Amino acid sequence: MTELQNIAKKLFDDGSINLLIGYSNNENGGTSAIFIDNSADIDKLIYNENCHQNLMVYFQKPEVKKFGKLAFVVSLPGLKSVLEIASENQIKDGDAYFIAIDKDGNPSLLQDFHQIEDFITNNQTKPPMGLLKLMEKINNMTREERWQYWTDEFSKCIKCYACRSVCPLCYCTQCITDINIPQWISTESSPIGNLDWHIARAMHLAGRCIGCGECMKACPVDIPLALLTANLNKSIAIHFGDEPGMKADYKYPLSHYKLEDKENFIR
Amino acid sequence: MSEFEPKIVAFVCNWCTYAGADLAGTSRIKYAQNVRIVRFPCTGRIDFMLLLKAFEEGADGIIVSGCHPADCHYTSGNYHARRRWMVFKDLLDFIGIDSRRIVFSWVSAAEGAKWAHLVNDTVSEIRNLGPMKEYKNLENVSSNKIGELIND
Repeated sequence: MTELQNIAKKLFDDGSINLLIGYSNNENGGTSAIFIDNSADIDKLIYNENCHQNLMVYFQKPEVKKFGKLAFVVSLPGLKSVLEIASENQIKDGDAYFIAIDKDGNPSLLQDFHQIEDFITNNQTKPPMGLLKLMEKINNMTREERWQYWTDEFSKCIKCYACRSVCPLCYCTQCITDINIPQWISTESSPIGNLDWHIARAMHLAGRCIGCGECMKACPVDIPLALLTANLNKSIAIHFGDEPGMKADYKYPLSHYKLEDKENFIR
Repeated sequence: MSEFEPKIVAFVCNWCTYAGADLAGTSRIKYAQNVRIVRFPCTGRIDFMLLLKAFEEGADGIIVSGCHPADCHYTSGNYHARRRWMVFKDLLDFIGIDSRRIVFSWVSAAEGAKWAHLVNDTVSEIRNLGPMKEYKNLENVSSNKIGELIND
């Protein structure tokens, strides 16, 4: 038994949890989420470098919530999402156990938000260089080139909403794109509908996205979606000095304000 | 060919800019007729989706205006709006939508003349920029693509 499985087994034996969400090998040679509700299945639990899915996406699902006491296998992005949804009052201290995987792949059991905050501070990683380079490249383009770049990218979108489904912070019970009175976003996968959807998605995640990049990995047509939210987070950091997913008492920058906020374009 | 007349949509707050525009009218100040005013309770109510909808419906330029900081009827709506526009403008720039077509301003109920200047300035700026072609071209892209699919 691995250390990860030992921790999981102990939680089940104590009666601390009813459901554990982790990773297991799937029949396609990759890894998938596994939902374990009794200790007999624990030997299927694994963790390796292929386990990137942000499992906190399941936390808000009613099918999962009904189990009551939960545990999640999470790495750094997952823990950041825990703090972000905590700051949005979606999870309370002690609601769930977290088996945190550190940067060397070693598991440890975390429960309260202070432990998670410390873990995140000690395990910070740099954002992927490829993403930063692409962001810089786009920022150095002329406006017309940027428009061309994004219309080309968005024209590939087939409106499958995988980016929404995979995001731990897209938990609205009714998404703006599903509302038809008024119809804010055209449901067809037309250039305008796609543009509206991606702008709305990015704006609704501005200052909330913790940068796990799952939207980009889930996208079947490889639109670099994480760039939009990463660039928004960059401007939020510049304007307001906020960074999501670092503290459980984080204040969402777009629902708070400072009298001395400075802009240079309002006449 | 006649000169291009830009269509401008103005999203204004009820308490300051709408009253300011009213003052411009009662003061008999003449200003450009290109503006269509949409009244909102507060700048805090003006969702970024409304701006995108205006462009989709054929606006060439947009004015967003409300109470000066510290003047908001609801105490803090304009401060929230200010943060939203700071972030939204950066997103538009990143995507490549010309953010010069959206003009933000604070116009109080006493500033009828400022409102008239704002509209006139915006109209002449948008006139120089020309029609908002990007969104109209998107529609063409759409129909072309569908046409291609049917022909295939």
